[in-house]
Amino acid sequence: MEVFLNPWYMVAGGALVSAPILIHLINRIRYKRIDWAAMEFLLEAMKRNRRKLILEQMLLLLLRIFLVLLTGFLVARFVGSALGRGAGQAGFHFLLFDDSLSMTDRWAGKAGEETTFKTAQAEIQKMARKIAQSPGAHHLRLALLSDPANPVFEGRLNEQALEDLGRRLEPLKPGFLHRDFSSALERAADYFSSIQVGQKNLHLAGDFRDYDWTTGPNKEKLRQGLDRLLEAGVNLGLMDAAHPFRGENRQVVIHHDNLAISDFRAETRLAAEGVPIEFTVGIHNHGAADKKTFLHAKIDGQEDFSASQPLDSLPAGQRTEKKFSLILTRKNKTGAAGLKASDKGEERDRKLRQDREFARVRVEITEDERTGLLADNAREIVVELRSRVPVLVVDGAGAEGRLPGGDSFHVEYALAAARAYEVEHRTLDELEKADLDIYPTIYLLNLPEIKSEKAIARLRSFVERGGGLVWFPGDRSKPAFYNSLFEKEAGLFPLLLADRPTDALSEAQRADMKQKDEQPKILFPDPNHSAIVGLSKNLGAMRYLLIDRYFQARPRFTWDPTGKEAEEIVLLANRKWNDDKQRESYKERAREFLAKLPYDEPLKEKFQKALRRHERAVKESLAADSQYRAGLALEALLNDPGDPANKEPSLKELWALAEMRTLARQIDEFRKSILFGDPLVVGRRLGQGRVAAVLTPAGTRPTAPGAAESWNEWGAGSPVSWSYPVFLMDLQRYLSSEGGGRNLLVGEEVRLTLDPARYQPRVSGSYQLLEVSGAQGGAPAVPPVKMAEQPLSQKEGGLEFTFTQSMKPGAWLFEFHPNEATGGATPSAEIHAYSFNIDSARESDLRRAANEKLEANRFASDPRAGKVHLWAPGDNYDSLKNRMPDASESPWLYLIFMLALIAEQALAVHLSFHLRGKEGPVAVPGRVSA
Amino acid sequence: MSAASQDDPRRFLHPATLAKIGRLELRARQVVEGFISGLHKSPIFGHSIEFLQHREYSHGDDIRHLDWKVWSRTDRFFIKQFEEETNLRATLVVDVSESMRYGNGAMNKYEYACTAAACLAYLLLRQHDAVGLTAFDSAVRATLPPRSQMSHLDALVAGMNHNRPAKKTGFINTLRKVAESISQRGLILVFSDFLVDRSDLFKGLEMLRHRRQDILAFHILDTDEISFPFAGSTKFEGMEEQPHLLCDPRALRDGYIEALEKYLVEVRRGCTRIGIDYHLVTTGDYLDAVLTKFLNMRLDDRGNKPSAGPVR
Repeated sequence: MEVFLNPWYMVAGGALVSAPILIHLINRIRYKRIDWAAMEFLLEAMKRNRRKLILEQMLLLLLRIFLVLLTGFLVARFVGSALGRGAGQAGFHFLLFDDSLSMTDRWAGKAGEETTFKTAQAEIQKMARKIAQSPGAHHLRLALLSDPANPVFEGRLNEQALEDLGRRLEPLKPGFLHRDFSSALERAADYFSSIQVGQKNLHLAGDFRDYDWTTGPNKEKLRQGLDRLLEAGVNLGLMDAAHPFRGENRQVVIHHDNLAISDFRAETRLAAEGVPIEFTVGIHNHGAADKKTFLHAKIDGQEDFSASQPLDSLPAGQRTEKKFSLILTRKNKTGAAGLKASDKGEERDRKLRQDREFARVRVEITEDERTGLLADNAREIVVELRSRVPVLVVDGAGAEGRLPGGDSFHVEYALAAARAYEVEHRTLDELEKADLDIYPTIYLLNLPEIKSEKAIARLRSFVERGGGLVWFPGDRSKPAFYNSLFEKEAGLFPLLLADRPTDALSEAQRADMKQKDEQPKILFPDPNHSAIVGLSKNLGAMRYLLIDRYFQARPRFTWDPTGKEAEEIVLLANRKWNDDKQRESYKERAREFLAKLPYDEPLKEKFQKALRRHERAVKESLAADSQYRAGLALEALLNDPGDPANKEPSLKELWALAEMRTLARQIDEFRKSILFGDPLVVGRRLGQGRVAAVLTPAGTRPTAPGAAESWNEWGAGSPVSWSYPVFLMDLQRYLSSEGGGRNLLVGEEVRLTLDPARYQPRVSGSYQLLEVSGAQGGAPAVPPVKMAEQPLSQKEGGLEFTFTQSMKPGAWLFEFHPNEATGGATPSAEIHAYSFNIDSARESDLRRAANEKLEANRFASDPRAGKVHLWAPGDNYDSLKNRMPDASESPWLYLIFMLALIAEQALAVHLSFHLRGKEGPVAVPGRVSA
Repeated sequence: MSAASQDDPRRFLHPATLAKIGRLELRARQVVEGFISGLHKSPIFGHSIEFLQHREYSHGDDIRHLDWKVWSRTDRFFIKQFEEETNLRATLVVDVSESMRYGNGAMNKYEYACTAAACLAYLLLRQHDAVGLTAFDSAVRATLPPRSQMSHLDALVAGMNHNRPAKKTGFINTLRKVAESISQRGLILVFSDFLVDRSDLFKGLEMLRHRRQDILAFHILDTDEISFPFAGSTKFEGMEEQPHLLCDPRALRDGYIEALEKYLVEVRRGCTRIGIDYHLVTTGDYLDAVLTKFLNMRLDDRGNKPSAGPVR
């Protein structure tokens, strides 16, 4: 009887099976009698149809018996087919409780402030009680999404266990990390794979946001994980505790608005004291209506009222960016701890390390509505502060490079202009030993090659951990070495060079280019790029810049096949224009494009005036033989903003039309081919840092033995030499702005390897959590908490420090203790600071997945597969009552039932008497005796 | 119908039917009164008024028909032949066997047959034709010689009234006796359900035809026997010693109808082959309509086929 949920119904059904037989037998006993004369025909019909009649009657009888059986089968709810899957005896429930940041979504409830997490806690207890009430033994494992391997509760559910569950649930708090269910499903799969017999149920309690289920990068992984479990017969229960509570028939699931600081960054990770630093904060309005707020900026807990500002318009669904500048000051006013010019090597490094200070810069927004997340209303970063920013320069020409006109000379000269940088000159050999982490950027000037593998490895590690590295190949450089760096060191040199630099210009060419050529000698594909933002404002002056020689890059597809890995920051003007034949070819192509413009199309009539104007401009530029003007004219043709005052439409509208896009792309490519020549400055990301290559030397005079010509006049000797410090400053900012590894997301790991010769094997420190109030003025500063001192483990010749405990937003300061210095003085501890912020990009958007996405089950028609249930607070969770999939859920059974009914009816109609066609009604026999 | 009325043989003279077919008298007279002397030309030569031809005397001829005037002129014996004009002799042959007792509705087959026979007898007697009767089941139960007096009608209907039917129909013996009893040509009207062995049936009818009788066959079946409208478990108890059958009649209906149609086709073809005027009548048919139709058909036969007299 275990194969039926309602066995007594099946007994009744079994008894009812005999009904058609009994009726048949009773009919044999009870019959009408008719005296019949025409017996002859009846007997003949009987004789002829005897076998058919018996078969038909038997078939009808069997069909009716079958129908009664099926009815009993349905009512009794046959579960025999589910027995193999453990139905009946025991239920195993794995409940994954989402404790990600988005579960802190708040709203005003009847009993005060409610959160999704608190609601889910209460609902989990209700679910567990419902499971415990159902027959059979039920086993529950409750685990947090952040730690699915270590269950919060595990055991068989009974009254005592329910109390225990309540006790364990109560102290749980949501975390600050981003989590989605996809990562925990493997753990659930492992759990269920160990269960041989019993009903398997996976319950997910969370807020089921769109990001996790529909739009995020893990949606496919999540779907596949769920599909695997469903296919394996695991029932899936989704308990959505987010507010407003999900309704069964609600297609659009409403979500709370949320205002979040999505990102906050400084223009540089390492700043000099007293130099203004630009900060950029992104505020994302994840709501359906425009909002306003107030932005508070604080340095080490003290509000800077010059930067705090109201934000009056935050458009719905968009990110708004605000910039402000701060001047950070050091607490230690003594400067670089007594750094002397005579200090060399390790001593110098140690003093530079101790010069390090950190400032905590925090932004916070106020929020009037008490809904949404609170934690994403603040964000904090640490900025490393130096009395001066040390920059490491290694010059292939050595000391000679520091003489006027040398590479080091010009770099030092340019950086010194800002009075924020301290140039440290080191030799190539010192790269193996020097503490590179002191420096935000390293300049490698005119290096022939680096023979030391260790030095190369250290440079690569420096960049991958957030450092900036810039190469200036010059007359000593060997392109083969640089190319080998690109190929073997994952782009430590960002491109592939031709075998030799270009030839120097002849005097005539130089004179021609200086005096006659009006166009800028260098161009910027992206004028807003941070590495040339200063130069791009003075593009016109670049007509006087002469780059005589440079290293030509190999075709871009050889070193950047996707066109996205590297960026061409500065390009030389295309010199092919000077060739008469080539110029005529360009002109011909330009005319072809002009001929293709839609002057006469009636639908594009409104653009005609502008098109004619631009046609004239392009033709005039071609007639003037001006490469630059032609390029500008073509650019204006593509980007004409129109004139709303004179009702002139923007040509961007024209180029946005589907049929015009191809032509627009072709014209733009043609424009680039006219203007842009070989790359001069190329950048590339590597790990957390950046590498850049300037393909002409920093210096203005040759340093290689026997070299006669200078390569360029940028650093000195040119009317635009003033722009070189501007360029180097921007380049320095570009290289030091990336990553840096100090501003991390909550949960990310900090890993440092220290030199045991320099440091003691211990670390101490403190942390200061980022409290968020959402109220006007922001939260008060929280005093720092001391961390217990921990030993450092020695591994592979280094002291390894790994920190993985950053589960809350805030700043951590780690103190590393150097060994005693020569002479017995006890050096002060070196500080490394890190800030940890929440992952707003993945947690702040509270939009929720639609019911159909959650309830999707492609195995719905498979009776062996698991079922999906979607619950919300207020549900009575009846489906948890040890539901076993029974035959009454199978659409096939109903189909069979319907077919049997149709067959029975068809046969009954066939075997019964009906008037046909024009036959009239026939009276029932009168002389009949029972 | 009360028990008393069931015993009253005059119940077969259905007043309504008689009233309805009585209105056909004028038309019927053309058909039936044609039997009355002077209205019918008969190809049978005998004594009469109108001379037809002479024929040389042969041995055995009645010498009363010798034309002595011809003998006086030619000295040879010639017989005078006249076109005979004679009254019709009709014999009603009514099946009163048990199978005729089945019926649903106002009349069963037996009553329907007797009523139809009585109505026609009345019509014939009114036209001074002689009407006789043979009622039979397994054997002849009543025989009345043809008489033309109207008072003979009572004897006819009394002869049809037979309350103890035998469980068998002796068709061939009955018709043999009818044939033997008839010496002259005449009209035989057979009323039966013909639920007998077909070979006996056709043999008996052929026997009558050999006696040069004009035969009208009224094949009377009950409506139920045609449409077989039964439903539910039913035990059919065979009349006239036929076996019983317990069955679901709905399941057998198609087979029954098929067998019945085959039988009806066989009977109709057999009658046509023998030269019998065959009429299938069901007890659901209105009697007056049936008789009217029959009389109209006879009228049409006379009108359209001059050669098709009552005696061919």
